[in-house]
Amino acid sequence: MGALKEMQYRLASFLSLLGFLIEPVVLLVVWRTVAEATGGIGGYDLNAITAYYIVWTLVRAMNLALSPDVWGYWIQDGRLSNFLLEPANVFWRTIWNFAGNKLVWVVQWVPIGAGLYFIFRPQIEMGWTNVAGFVVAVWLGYAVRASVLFAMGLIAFWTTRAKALFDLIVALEILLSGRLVPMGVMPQWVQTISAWMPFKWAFQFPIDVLIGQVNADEMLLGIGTQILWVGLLGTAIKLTWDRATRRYSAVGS
Amino acid sequence: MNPVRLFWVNFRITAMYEMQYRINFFLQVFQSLVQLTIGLVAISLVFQHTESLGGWTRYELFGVMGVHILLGGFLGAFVLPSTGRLMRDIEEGTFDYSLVLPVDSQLYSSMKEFSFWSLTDMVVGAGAIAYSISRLGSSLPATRVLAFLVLLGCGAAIMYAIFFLFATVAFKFVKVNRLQDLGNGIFQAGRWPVSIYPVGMRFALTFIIPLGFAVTAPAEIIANRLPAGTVFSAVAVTVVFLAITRLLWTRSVRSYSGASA
Repeated sequence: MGALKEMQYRLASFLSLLGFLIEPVVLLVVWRTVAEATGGIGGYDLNAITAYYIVWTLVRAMNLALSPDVWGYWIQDGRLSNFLLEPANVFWRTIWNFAGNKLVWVVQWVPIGAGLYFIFRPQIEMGWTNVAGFVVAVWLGYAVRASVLFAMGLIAFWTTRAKALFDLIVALEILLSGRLVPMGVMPQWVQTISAWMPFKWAFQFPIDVLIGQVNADEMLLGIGTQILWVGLLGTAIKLTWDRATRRYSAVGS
Repeated sequence: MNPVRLFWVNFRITAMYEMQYRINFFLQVFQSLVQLTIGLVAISLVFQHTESLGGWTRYELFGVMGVHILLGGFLGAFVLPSTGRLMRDIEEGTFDYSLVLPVDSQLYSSMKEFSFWSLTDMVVGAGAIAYSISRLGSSLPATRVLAFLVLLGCGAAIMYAIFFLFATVAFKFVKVNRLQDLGNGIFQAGRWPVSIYPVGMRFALTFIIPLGFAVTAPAEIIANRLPAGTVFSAVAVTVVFLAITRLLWTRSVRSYSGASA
C-alpha cells in the first residue's frame, strides 16, 4: 500500500529523496577533503570514508521513518481517531507503510548511488557475507530508528510542547549515530556513550557491515544488539501505547 | 498600496499573534542553539585533523556558518511560511482571493505569512559572524562592511527567488510541496564554502543554485579573500534571478484558471 501510494507521486518522491540525500553528499566531500590531506581519519582510509558516505545515502533512504512531530498534527486534526478505529494497529500500520515506501526509494536511489560511485570511485572489497549482513542490518536499523521515533511521538499524548525534546533527540542522533561522522573520529568518551545508545545501530552499523569495517564476530554481535534494541523499544512502546490510548480523548470528527 | 506599509502591517499582525505563544520563543532559541552546537562540533572535528579545509581556516569557516544560519533564519522567518502557504493556496483553490486584492499578487503572496520566532536564527547567525570577525582580528573598513551588507542582501534576494520559483511550479504541477525538501537539502550544501566541492558541483552551486554568491561570498568578505569584481557579479546574478522569478510568476498567473470554482 505504501509503495503504491508513493508510486502515484514519483517525481515528488524523487525530489524529496534527492533533498534528503544532499546532507551525506556534502559530508562526503568535506571528509574526503580531510582524508586526502591526512591519509585517513578515525580508522577509515580515503576509500573507506568515501564508501562510507555513499552507502550512507542508501541507509538514509532506508531508515526514514515517521517523524514524531506528525503525532501532534494527527491528534490536533482528529485523524488519529480514524486510525484508532481501523482494525490494523497504528504501530504496524506506520512501520509497514514506510517499509513499502522504501521499495520505491531504493529504486530511485540506484541512479544516485551509481552516479556517486562513478564520480568518486571508492576501491572497496565486499563479499557476499557483507551484502547478506547488510540486508539484515539495514532492515533492523530501520526497525530500531522507527521504534525510537514512534516512542518519541507518543509523548504527544501527554504534551504538545515536546518540540524542544524532539530537537534534542535529533541532535543526539546526528552526533552519536555516525550520521555526522563515523564514531571513530569522535573522542573515546563519545564513542562509549554512542555504543550504549540505539542511534549508531540504525546508521553506522549497517554501513560498516557493507564496507567491511567490522569482522564476522562484530557483525553478529551488532545484529544481536539491534534485535535487543528492537525488543526493548517494542516493549516500551507496547506499555506506553496502552496508557496513551486510555488517556486519549478524541479531537475532531 | 505601499509595499513597505503592507509588509509592516502583516509583520505586526504576525508578531502580535506570536506574542500569545511566548513559549515558542524559548523553543526556537533552543533549536537555534542546537543547530549552532552541531555546526561547531563539525568544524572542531574537522580541525582536529587538519589546519585548513580547502584553504579555509577554522574561524573563517565560523563566518561561513554564521552567514548560513543567518540566511536560514531569513528563509524561515520571511520566505518559507509564505511559499508554503502559496503552494497550499494553489492546491486548495484559495489563491483566487490573492488575485482580486488591490495589490501586486507576487508581492502579496511573498509577504502573506511570517514566522516571527525564526528571527532568533538571524540573531544567532549574526553572533557567529561577529565572533568570526573578532577571532580573525583583521580590520574591517567601511567599504568592506558595505560590500558585506550588499552581498548579504543579494544572498537573501537570491534565496527568496529560488524558493519562490519552486513555489511557482505549483501552478503547473499542483503537488510540489516536496520541492521545499529539495530546496532545504540544497541550502544545507551552503554550510561549507563552495570552493571545497568538486568542479561540477561547484559550477551548479555557483550558477544554477548560486549558493556561492548567497552564502560563500559574504563569508569571503569577512575573511578578506574576495576579488572586488565578485560584488558586481553577485548583484548581476541577483537581478537575473529576480527577473526570472517575476517572468515565471507573470506567465503562471496569466495561465492560471482557478481551482476553487
